[in-house]
Amino acid sequence: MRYDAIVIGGGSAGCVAAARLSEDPDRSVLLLEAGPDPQPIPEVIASGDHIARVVLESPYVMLYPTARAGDGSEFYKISGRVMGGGSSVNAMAVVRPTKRDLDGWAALGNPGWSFDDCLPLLKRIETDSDYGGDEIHGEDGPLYVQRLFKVDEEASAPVRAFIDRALAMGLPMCPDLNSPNPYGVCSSAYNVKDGVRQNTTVAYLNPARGRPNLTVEAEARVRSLRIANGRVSAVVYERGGAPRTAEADVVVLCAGVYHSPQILMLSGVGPPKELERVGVPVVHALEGVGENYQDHATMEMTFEGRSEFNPDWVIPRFRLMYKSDPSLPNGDFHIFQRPPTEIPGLKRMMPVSANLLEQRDRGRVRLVSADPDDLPEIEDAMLRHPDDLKAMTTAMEFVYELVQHESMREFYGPLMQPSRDEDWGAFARSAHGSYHHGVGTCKMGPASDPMAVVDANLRAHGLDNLYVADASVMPVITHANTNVTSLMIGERAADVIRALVG
Amino acid sequence: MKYQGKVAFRASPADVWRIVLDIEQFAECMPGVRNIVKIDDRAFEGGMSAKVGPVSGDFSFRAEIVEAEEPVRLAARVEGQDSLTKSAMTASIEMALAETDGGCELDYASEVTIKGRLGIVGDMILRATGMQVIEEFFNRLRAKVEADPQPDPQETRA
Ligand SMILES: Cc1cc2nc3c(=O)[nH]c(=O)nc-3n(C[C@H](O)[C@H](O)[C@H](O)COP(=O)(O)OP(=O)(O)OC[C@H]3O[C@@H](n4cnc5c(N)ncnc54)[C@H](O)[C@@H]3O)c2cc1C
Repeated sequence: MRYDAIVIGGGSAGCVAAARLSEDPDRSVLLLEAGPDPQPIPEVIASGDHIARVVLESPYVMLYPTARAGDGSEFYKISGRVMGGGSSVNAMAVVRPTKRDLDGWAALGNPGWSFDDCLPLLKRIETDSDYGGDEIHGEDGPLYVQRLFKVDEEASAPVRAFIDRALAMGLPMCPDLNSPNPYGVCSSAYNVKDGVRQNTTVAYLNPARGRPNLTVEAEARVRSLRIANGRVSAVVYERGGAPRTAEADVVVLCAGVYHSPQILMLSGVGPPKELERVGVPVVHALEGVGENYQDHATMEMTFEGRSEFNPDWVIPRFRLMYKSDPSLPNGDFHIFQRPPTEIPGLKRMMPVSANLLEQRDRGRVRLVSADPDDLPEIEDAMLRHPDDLKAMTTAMEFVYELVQHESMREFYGPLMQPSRDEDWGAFARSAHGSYHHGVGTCKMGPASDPMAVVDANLRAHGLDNLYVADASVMPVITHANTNVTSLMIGERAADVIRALVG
Repeated sequence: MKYQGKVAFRASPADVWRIVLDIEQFAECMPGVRNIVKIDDRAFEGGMSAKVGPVSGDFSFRAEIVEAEEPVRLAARVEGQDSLTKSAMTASIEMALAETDGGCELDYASEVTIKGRLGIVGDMILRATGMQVIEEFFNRLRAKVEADPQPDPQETRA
């Protein structure tokens, strides 16, 4: 079959791109998603209350065993493998990139990506039920956005104590984490409406499903792209055990930070040495494919819990945007309370998590073989750089100081992990987890940057009709959760293709 | 996840050994464990329940002594699975006992591996859980050993 556009991957960005591109009834669009497309979205995805369940219990997540850079011990990165991708399994926080993040991308040689240039996209994504219609927030976009808790309203006692203590330690009130440079005790927005998750399936794809020019194929896994004369001539995929191909004028790769580079490399697009290592013939050399991988490292400081469990605690509805160094121009940590763990016979455990919002070293995503059935391998670099580690231990000290105060004693007991007398740096290197915000493996940048994979129009360098539009193109990780930025990239891809291809 | 440490007892290695090797008594030292079923002199099965925020799950396991060199060294292995995520847990435990002036000292080292989604809920919670189980295990073991010293075999003979 031939289409005007094929979108590969119906995740956060892919559903946006497919829905926007199919707004024009004259453009035929095929959306290929590897995961299933259950309709209506099942309770385990829909429920705005039980966000942990979808990750712990559902068949809709993919696990990537990964070695910690610090000591080689194993932990997991994850992604969503279902229509909606990450937006179907994530924690639903809608956190915009900061002004500095986007201005930084533009300064790397990506015209059109400054905060001011992206603001119209950020606004058109959302219907912000709190601030919609003001200068910076949208009021009629597909994604419903709401602050489930406002930092100045009534809260359960432990939450109130936590906020008051943070204010007493000098952090300012920050009613909106989606302001251009948030800092302090911030209300965070969520894409949940009447208790139902607003993933990109609900917000973007469902309203578009009836269009005759949009074809959606689920459980359709793309194996590779056929490339000839600097163009993608066909998309090779598999559905129902049978190999298939489809052709299009434009191919938009939205398979996410782990699978967009995987599909490129399986197609012979990538660093020649890497391709040769696994026996894939080089079709188009692009050194940056799979490189530049970044994520946010997470540490949970576990305290003994004193107060009774309160459901109010489950979702980090607010977070501290904290600076590990007061001279920083922007916050570099999200800090928030986590729900307690209760095991009969043991002391209740109440963690507070510190999430580093930047990464100085870069990891990578590599093929383990030429077989598309093999998951790509992640070489992680979180907390590898000494300055990242130092920032983390500083934040851990801050959490300790915040929690171990008499005003908090009613709720939090002594620190259980790590113990006070061990080396917190060593501990962090061997125990950190992921905030699940992987980005960067198909970096956007100018042709003069040998590691750039796509240009500022999201078009692959040297491949005429191939675009990459998902978290993988972010050149530098945002000081924010990454979902709404991925949606923004999907919006931009649709704009660019409409403008360049017609 | 690795744990190691030393615990001192005001009792002889033989006293500690006797309780550790008695499956029923050993199981009683494990906090939070219920439904204990003795398989044989070297193995038992049991369960634990946990609640992380709104999510609850059960954890069932089998513990087995794999090597015992009386009364100085013991190696045990625990294998389990949780009901929610079907993650697999394995733990290897080594204990060595040495006589000291006032009694004896037990050196332990343990390595715990978790394969599966349980690992996603956070190493830190699992570590803290492991640490608590170990601490509480030795508290209970000490209470048992020191409350119930057996007459010294030397003295009995005399
Ligand atoms: C557990 C978790 C919690 C998170 N919490 C938050 C949060 O609260 N707030 C936030 O902002 N961000 C959060 N994130 C991050 C955010 O969800 C991601 O950054 C975002 O979803 C990335 O979007 P994407 O479009 O790049 O990729 P994805 O959404 O992952 O989409 C990629 C899609 O491609 C499909 N695919 C992969 N390979 C193929 C193939 N070969 N053929 C066809 N299709 C393929 C996948 O199935 C998937 O649907 C979280 C992520 C996770 C995993």
